[in-house]
Amino acid sequence: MQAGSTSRLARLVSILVEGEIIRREVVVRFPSGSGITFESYSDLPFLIRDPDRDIDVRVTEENIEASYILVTNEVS
Amino acid sequence: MKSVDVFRIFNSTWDNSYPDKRLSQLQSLRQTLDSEHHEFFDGMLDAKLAGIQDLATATVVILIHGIQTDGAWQKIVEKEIGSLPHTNVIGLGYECVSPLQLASPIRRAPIEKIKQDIRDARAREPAARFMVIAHSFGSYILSRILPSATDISFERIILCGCIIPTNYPWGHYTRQMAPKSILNDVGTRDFYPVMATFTSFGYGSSGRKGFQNPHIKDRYFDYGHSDFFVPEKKHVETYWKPFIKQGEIIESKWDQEKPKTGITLLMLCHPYIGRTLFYAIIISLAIVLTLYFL
Repeated sequence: MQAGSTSRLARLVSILVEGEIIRREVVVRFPSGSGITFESYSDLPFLIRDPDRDIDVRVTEENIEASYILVTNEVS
Repeated sequence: MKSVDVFRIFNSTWDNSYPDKRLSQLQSLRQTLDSEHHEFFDGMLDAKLAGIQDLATATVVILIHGIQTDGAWQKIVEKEIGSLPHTNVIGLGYECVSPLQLASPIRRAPIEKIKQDIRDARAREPAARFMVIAHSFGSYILSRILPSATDISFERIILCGCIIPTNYPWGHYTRQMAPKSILNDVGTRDFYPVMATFTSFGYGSSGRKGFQNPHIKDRYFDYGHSDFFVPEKKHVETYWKPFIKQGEIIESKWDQEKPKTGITLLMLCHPYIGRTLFYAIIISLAIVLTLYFL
C-alpha cells in the first residue's frame, strides 16, 4: 500500500503498530542536541528538564519527532 | 465515532490551535477518543509532525457493485488497479437489494448509504482525484447520486452492465468533467439492462445498446452482464487500468465486429414500447388464466 495522503499513511502506520510489526517512539529533542524517548504521545509531559543545560524545556510540536522500530528486530 | 470523524476533528484542532498550544490541545482531544482510534490519531500526528503533505496525484477509485455480484469482483479490481502508484481502491457495498426492491421504486437506502460513504472517503482525502467504477445497479445508484449531491464529482467514470436510462442528462451533471472521461462498457450479450428497462421504471438499456451521445464513450464487447470481471478476459488490466492511470481509451475490436441489434430487442429497449408490450402480455395472461379457472 502506497501512501498518497496523510490519512492513508496514518491508517497504514496504525495497522502496522496494532499488528505489532513496528513500535512507535516519540523523542523530545533538547536544545543541547540530546533527547529523551517516550512510548506514546499521551506520555509526553508539558515541561521537561534538559539535563545537559539544567533548564526546563517546554514540549511542543517543534521539538518532538516520531520514530519507528521494527519489533522483530528487538530482543524478545 | 468513525475514523473519518477522527480525521476531521484532528485536522480542525491542528488548523485552529496556536502552534505552542497545539500539542496539549491534541493530547486533550486524544483522551476524549475511544481507544480504538488512538493508533490512527497517533499516525495522523506522526504525519503532521513529519510535514507530510497530500499528493496532488493521489487517486481514489470507488467501486460500486450491483445486486447479484455482492462485490466479489471488487477484489479483482482492487488487486489490479491498486497496483498503480498512489492509488487507493475503495469497494463500497450496501445491504442486500432483492429483485422485488429492484423492480419497485423504493431504492433510497442503498443510494443514501453509498452517497455518505463517498463523502466520507472525500473527507479523508480532500486533495485526491476521485474516479468511480460502477456495475449494474451500482450504475443506477451513481446516476441518482450525481443530481442530488453536487459536492460529489469524479474525474473519470467507468460504467459496465449499465442500467441507467439512455436519455440521462450526462451533460448537465458532469459539466466539470473533461471530454472522454466517461466510459460505458457494453456487453452485447447482456440481457439484464433490457429486462430492467421493460419490467420496471427508472432504468435503461445503456448496458446493452450504449448511450450513443457525445458525453459518453460507448465501447462494445462480446460479453454477458458480468463478464467484465472474468479473470481470463483480463478486461480490468487491458481496458480499465490505462484509463484510470492516464485516461487512455483502448479501443475494442468488437466495436466493428458486433452484430446488428434486432428490431425486437430495440423495441424492448425502448422504455415506452418495451414496457407497454411487457405489461400488455402480463395483463393478457392474467385475464386468460382468470377466465380459464373461473
